[in-house]
Amino acid sequence: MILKEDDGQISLEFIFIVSFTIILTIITLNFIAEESELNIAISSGKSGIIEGSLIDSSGIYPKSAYDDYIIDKKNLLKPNHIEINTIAIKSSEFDSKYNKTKIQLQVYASCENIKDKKEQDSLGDRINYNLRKSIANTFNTTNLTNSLYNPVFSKNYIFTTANVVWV
Amino acid sequence: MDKKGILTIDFTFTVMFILIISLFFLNMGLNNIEISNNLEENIESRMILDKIANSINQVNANGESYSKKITIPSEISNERFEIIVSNRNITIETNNKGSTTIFPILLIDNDEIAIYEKKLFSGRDYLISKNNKSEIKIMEC
Repeated sequence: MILKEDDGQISLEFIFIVSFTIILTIITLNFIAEESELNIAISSGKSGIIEGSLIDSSGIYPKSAYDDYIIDKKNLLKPNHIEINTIAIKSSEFDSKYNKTKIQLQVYASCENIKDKKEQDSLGDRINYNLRKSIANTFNTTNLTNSLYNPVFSKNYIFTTANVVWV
Repeated sequence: MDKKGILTIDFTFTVMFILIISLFFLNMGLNNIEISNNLEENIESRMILDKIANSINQVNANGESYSKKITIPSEISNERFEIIVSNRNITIETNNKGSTTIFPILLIDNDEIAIYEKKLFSGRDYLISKNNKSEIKIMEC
């Protein structure tokens, strides 16, 4: 019996280290979760931005948008090359109404062919819309927000978007 | 008996932690798959449009009785679609809508009567040809 118990024993130091790690993890879990949530939000936002800019680039839009653009924004119907330069956190403050941190994201993009303000706004709105939609889908919060996903919620944050800056 | 099949507490913690984290990533992965599906539809539509526009422009640029056969793919993202060719542009309608411009052409139907637009359906073959009056005929074949 004693011989049997000699097999597969772990040392006391190991148990100390493991338990210390677990305690540390539990203490910092909240902080880690919040940080990783922000990271996940930004990266899902990024994939949304890519979607938006590629839809803009391909020039194939939902029917209602197409019928709107054919009237006075004909440049948008051609394929355009849109480049996303950066995504920045414009402002971040605590919102006491929702008890969450409010973050405003801003995208910087450029497109050589489109210089008209109205057309740029249409392109930018699509990029921002897809950004917010992607965050809402990632955090499964589509039921908390409106049809334009503005603002969009995650567990500890609220995200809004500022108008895209065209450079 | 009790010595077999016992989980350590660390293992349980790890599994729980991984589960929580993977839940986020699972959502994100699904979201990304959806995004790429949508984009595939858009880009495929644009490619089909450009291909047809090129073919029509090519026939239009060549001389009398030049013709070219085009095959329209049967579906985009498992859905059928239609394309409308008019004098100045080509429009595609799937879930989304897009268009591309072509050099202006004179369109005629099978009976050689001038028409404003011609509908092309997915999954069919069409012959684009030019007659001696520089008119373009798009015929199913």
